[in-house]
Amino acid sequence: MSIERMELVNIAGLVKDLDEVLERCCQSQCFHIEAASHDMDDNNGFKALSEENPYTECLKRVYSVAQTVSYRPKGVDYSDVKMEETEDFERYVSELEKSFSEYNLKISELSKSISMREQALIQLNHLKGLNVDFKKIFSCKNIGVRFGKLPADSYQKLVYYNDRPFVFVAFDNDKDYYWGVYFVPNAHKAVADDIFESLYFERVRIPDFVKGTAENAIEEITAELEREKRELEQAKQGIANLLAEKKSEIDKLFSKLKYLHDIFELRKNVSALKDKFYLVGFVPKKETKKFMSIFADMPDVAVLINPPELDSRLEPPIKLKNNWFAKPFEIFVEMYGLPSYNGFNPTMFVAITYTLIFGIMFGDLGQGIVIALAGLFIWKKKKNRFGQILTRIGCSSAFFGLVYGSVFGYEEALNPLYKLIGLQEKPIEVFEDTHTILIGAVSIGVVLIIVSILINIFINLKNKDYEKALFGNSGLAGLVFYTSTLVAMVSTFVFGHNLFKAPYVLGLIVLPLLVMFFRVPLAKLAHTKGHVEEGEGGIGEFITENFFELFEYLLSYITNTMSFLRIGGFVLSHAGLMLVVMVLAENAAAFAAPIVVVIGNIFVICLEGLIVGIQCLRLEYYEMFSRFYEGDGHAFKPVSVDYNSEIE
Amino acid sequence: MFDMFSTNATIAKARAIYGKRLTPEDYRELMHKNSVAEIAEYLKRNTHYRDVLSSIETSTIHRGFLETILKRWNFDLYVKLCSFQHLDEIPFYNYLVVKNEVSEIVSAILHLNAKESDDYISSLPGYFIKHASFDLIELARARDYGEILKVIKNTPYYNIIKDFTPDEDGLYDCTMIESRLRTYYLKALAEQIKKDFPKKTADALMSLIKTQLDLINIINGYRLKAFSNADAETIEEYSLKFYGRLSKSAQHELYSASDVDDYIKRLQKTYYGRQLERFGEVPTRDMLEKQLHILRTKYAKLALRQIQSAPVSLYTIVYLFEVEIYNIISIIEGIRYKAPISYVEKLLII
Repeated sequence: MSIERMELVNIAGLVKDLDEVLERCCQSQCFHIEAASHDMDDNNGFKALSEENPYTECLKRVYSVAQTVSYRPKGVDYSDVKMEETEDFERYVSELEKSFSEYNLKISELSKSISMREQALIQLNHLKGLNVDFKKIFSCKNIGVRFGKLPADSYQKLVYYNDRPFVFVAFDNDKDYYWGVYFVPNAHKAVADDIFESLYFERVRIPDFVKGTAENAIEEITAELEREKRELEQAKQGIANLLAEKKSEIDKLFSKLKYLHDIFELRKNVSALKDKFYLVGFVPKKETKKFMSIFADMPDVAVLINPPELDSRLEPPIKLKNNWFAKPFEIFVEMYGLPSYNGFNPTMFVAITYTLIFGIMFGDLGQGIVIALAGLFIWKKKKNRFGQILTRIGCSSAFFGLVYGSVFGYEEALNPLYKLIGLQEKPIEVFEDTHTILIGAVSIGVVLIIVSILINIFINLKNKDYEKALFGNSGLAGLVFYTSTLVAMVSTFVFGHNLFKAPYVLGLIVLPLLVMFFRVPLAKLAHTKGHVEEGEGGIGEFITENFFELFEYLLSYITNTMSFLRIGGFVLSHAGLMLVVMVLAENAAAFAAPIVVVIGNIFVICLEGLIVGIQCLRLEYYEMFSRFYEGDGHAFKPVSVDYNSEIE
Repeated sequence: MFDMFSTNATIAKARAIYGKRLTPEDYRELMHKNSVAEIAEYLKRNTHYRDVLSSIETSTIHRGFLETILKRWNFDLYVKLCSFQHLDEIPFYNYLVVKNEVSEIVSAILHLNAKESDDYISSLPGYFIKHASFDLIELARARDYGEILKVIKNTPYYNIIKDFTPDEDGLYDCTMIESRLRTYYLKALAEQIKKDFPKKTADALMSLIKTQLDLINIINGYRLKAFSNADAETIEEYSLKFYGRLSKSAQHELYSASDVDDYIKRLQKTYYGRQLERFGEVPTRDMLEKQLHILRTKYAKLALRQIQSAPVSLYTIVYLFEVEIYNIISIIEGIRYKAPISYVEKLLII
């Protein structure tokens, strides 16, 4: 429930050992490498290794071969690939390319030809309206004729050429093109052709064999097209057979090349001076011993472990440390942005609040169990962390289903259970306790906002940023204002004891507001460590800006609190939706009723479940995170060979 | 605040559209294509450009036409997002039109300098004709500087460039004209932002614009230093007279570098140098421009993701797709000149 402590690791050694060191770093699976820029300054002479990766081109060619047959190579055991030199790899890849090229060439030529003929067909269809014998038009002796299409954008430019001796006649158009013909005296044909080419006019070439009208041409081309399509299918079958034969060969070659490529790629993060290299990174504190032991048998390699603060230029990477319950919710935190190294890990907070709020909003014993089981299935099958989240929120949903007495929309199904444990009826009857539910929802919101503000105060006091901790809207001033206003309202309007009296209002409501208004000068007085913006304008601008910001703060307290009403809203909407399903089932024929209930439940789980999930996340991000959290950390990424990644 | 709530749909729409952007996998596929037709076909079959390319015959498509289609798509996206919730009624949202108008004027003058005014019509984006505040067809017909000025007579650009005179070869200083027009554009944009939006939105937009103008100045300085070892005064003369995170003195300090290497060293000590380092980049001669552009895209992506404001979403998404289109054009150019994939890769801003 915190952030994994890191150690700064400096590795120095001889360049001859570099590849071995990088390989071992990869194998350790716990080394996060930093860019070489940090190791260099004007004096030490170290320069980043910026060699061209010798394996990139070969690897890309292997990818390219695989792509031509829509195959994605996989990482496999390549121990029987004995090649080591780049020349050997190049030769081997060339042979591989050659074996596929014959088919590729044929497919490419046929595709091109088919595409041209299909295009000609489309164009001839546009020319059908002309209904003139092409032979007659083309037999004009002094006038050149060009059929084709002009882009709509270019059509607007024709007005520029009003004084030129040609005319364009459009006889069909859509949003992109004007289809037509231009006529030009033979003496000006070359100039007109140039102009139309620059306007991206595409000529419709009427095939030589066409005689008569456009209909004749369409018939001829259709027959030719069918023949070529048959040939294309045969060529595709041929290449598929070849792939089946070479698949294992491609995978092995790819795996070895990718391994060598990725290891070499790490060199970009290494700085070197003559025959010595130097690299910097981070290793989780608990793994430092294991990491050091990897290099024990390399006498020329020195591994130094230091506290991360030693190099202030480097921000340690973030690896969140959470227990089994909170761990899957790291997805939500990562989605927003990781905390800084000395910041606050909010995963547990998210895990608890998200699970709780989802359960309240989507309480149904049966549906909750279904969600939990679906989550379990996703996790087991796909190893997707989202599955684990579903399991947790499904259990929460099932628990609140017990409280609301709802099982797949059957609101009375649990009554015997309640009687068994000595209750007269279900703890909460959703449609009868509407007020309690809505007030409860807002109360949850108030508690969560206060907790968020307290977390913000704690974090910023730790960072000595007094503007945010004490004077901001999510700081102490904001907390005093928010809680005092709420207490006074509840006391006055619920218990009839008016707290809105001068000392209370001045001390606990007006004073915090003034503190928020003057937070920037106050922070300057307190020599805050945080960022204090320099005002550019005069006192007038200061007052205007802060007045509007204060107004926005006040609005945000109200809107943030009211935003939690959605919790209650969804409790009601869920019950409402299930009521609709039950009414539909009752009105359906006897055999159809179970089907209606099943489909209705599936619909509610999928649609409403998704909406509730999104709404919960919205509450987390907007109403809570916005008060205390800044996701400005970067992730801990141990160096490794990733067979699924792309080559950069 | 109310503005924020009322335009949430635009923000969501912008983010959803950006979610369909090209992935590194798409770029990799595109780089492996052998012709413009294959690229167009891939874009048509597998990417968010499928709608705009749906009626286009990719096997015969011209490179320039494909580029125009992609650029038009981005402009249409801007128009669509602006009109979605009637945002175009707020003056700020005219910014892309102003930016394109500036580009067209500069392009017309460049053609004039090259004595190729007749060719300007080819590069003129047809889709922009109806949006411009002056007659672009007339601009294309202009055959001297006086005629260009006549076309833009009733626009704010006229006063900015009317006093330029040709040098002894009859050429106009395009770099300076562009610098003045860009300064006007960015200053006008900054003023409009202050007028149109609440402080938070204005701050977020200004942060993006300040980055934009700083990077223009840094790259401009770098080019002048690299190609002509220009002194600080010359670079300052050509830079945008508007300051972002690099103050006037910080810029002077940077421009005073003795050569390119010194320029890069000094840059490393500035805010942008530190930001590059934060992202694990060491500025180098070959890669500096790319690194700075990547930095800008990182800020833009962050703003699009984190700032709940329609103008910020619109401004960033249009920019991010500009970058995407630039990347596609780089790949097309690579194929045209048969450049190795590794070279094209270095050009991409991902």
